[in-house]
Amino acid sequence: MKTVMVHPQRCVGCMQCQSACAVAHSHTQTLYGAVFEEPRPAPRIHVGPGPGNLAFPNKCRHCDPAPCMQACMPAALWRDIPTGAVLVDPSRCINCGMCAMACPFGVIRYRADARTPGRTVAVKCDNCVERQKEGRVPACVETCLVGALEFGDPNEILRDESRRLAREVSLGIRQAPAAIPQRPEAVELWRAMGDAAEALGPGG
Amino acid sequence: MRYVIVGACAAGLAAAEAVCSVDPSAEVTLLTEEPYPPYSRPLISYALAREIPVTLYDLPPPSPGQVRVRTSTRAAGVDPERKEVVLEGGHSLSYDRLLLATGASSRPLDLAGEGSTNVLGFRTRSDAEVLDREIRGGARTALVLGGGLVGVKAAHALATRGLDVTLCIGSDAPLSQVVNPEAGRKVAEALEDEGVSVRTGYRPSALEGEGGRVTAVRFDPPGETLRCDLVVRGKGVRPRTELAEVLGFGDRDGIPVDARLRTPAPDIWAAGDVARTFDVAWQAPRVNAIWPAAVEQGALAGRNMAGSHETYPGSLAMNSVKVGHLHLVSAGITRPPDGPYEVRDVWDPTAGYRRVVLRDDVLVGAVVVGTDGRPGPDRTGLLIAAIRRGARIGDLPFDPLADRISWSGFAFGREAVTGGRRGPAATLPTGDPVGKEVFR
Repeated sequence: MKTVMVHPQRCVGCMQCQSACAVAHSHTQTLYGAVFEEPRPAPRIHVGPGPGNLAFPNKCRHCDPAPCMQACMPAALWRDIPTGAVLVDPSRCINCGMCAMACPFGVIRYRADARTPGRTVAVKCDNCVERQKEGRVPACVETCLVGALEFGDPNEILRDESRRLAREVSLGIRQAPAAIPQRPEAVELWRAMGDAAEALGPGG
Repeated sequence: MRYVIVGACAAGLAAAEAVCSVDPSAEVTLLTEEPYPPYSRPLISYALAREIPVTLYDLPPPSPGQVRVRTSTRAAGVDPERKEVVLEGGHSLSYDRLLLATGASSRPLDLAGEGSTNVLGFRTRSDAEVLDREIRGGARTALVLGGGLVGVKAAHALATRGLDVTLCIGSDAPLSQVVNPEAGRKVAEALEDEGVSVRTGYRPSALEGEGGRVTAVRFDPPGETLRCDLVVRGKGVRPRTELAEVLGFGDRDGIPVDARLRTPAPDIWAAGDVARTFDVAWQAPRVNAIWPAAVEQGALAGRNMAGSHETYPGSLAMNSVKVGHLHLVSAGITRPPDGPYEVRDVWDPTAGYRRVVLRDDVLVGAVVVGTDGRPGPDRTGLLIAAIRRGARIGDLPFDPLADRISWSGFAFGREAVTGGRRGPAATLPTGDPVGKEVFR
């Protein structure tokens, strides 16, 4: 099953994924159209402070078994077998709050939805199943400029990552990481620039 | 392998599905004493309030080829020697593995006249249909006795249908078994806004009426008689352990199960509202009669019945209640007994009410009450997941008492630029003319 993997050490918190997600789930499919839609389309991915107060794009992990599906009383949450995505059937959702209560990642929100006028329903990441059918990757992945979001099979992504690490460690160009992987060089340089700017003091 | 599952609601259905996923040659028989095919019991309050169409009741049937659902079939006893379930009417059904998912029933009032046609529990689809018939037949006033979850939901649904509803509670706030009185009183306020009259300190002492119908209820204390067309029992539920009691285990506190959800009898498992499982917050066996726990236990018991060896990590009481504009989420221990407990409360008119209960700095309970979706139930799952894994409050990456994520110290550019240090805010020019000059 292919899904969106997050590399939090690469995220700079630009929030482009959020707006791309909202646009991808809008009627007009354009940013300017989406802003004026009523109800305004909601993002399914949220960038917030994660561990270490660093930016973290938080979205549905499509768990199996999924606690939200187990908590759903009207069986509005269901699994799309071909893609493995956990999806919401808005016509069955009764906005009872059980799925959000059960979700250990806090990624289910309740919003007005264009598919069910006048009702608030659970809104969550659908792994862009419609885009996947057209052979496109999810909108958040397409728009991520720093490669913090990657679409693929989690096992393959982890395998590639560990192979790359093993190769680089054996060549001596990288050290085996401690618990937390290092931030990318670009971010380190940016921070060094910030330190220099701060040393100059205000107005410097 | 022949599997018999007694009870076809959350736990029973989940178990049937789980059995089929592990054992492709399984023959599963689901027994339900109700005349309906599997449906979602908690939805009766929504259906009675006419907030959802009746078709929403029905749950997708589990693997039709392997699972046979027998409606209107009541199990009268179990013979563990011959491995048979004795059905009411004399027939019997043999099993290799048996699951008791008999659930719970409304707690009785223990008063004379309780069998009257207009005194009802609020537990099954038939209860909701009888109430609906009574309302269409002209019932105008309803008394809901007991402020448990069932009582609150029934009172809200009946008020939505335009009845004159009085919720009579023995203790001093609704949901006294679920949350602390402070949060309970907010629920009472929300119910009043929805048109329910809430009376606390009212204990029913006698049902008055004639011809098999109750027309008034006497309350002592405070010594008052209230007239009514309908009476709903809302004093909570108790596990239905009749079958287990015949086998020599199970009491009013449910059926005891081990970590694999097996009962003391061989080849008999138990799950759902009837099973007394390990509670992660209390660190003791406890019945948690809630939908998510029932599904979780049913699925695990089903897999174990079919040959798996999984252990249940434990259940956690959690509830999500919506009354009008109010939303309440509670989990774990909300009213701690005397002991090494610490309670932190926050009441903020804009951010709602929050309570966190700690035991030796470990999170064991939480209550979040919000209005108009602020704070909504959206991120309460993070808090509940922390309770489930027994997190220390200092280790949480977020403040459990804050509504919004704390953005302090997190500014996108700044955080990345300064490496997390918070320097003094840049001084912007003040005094309009100068400022404008500078910016031009």
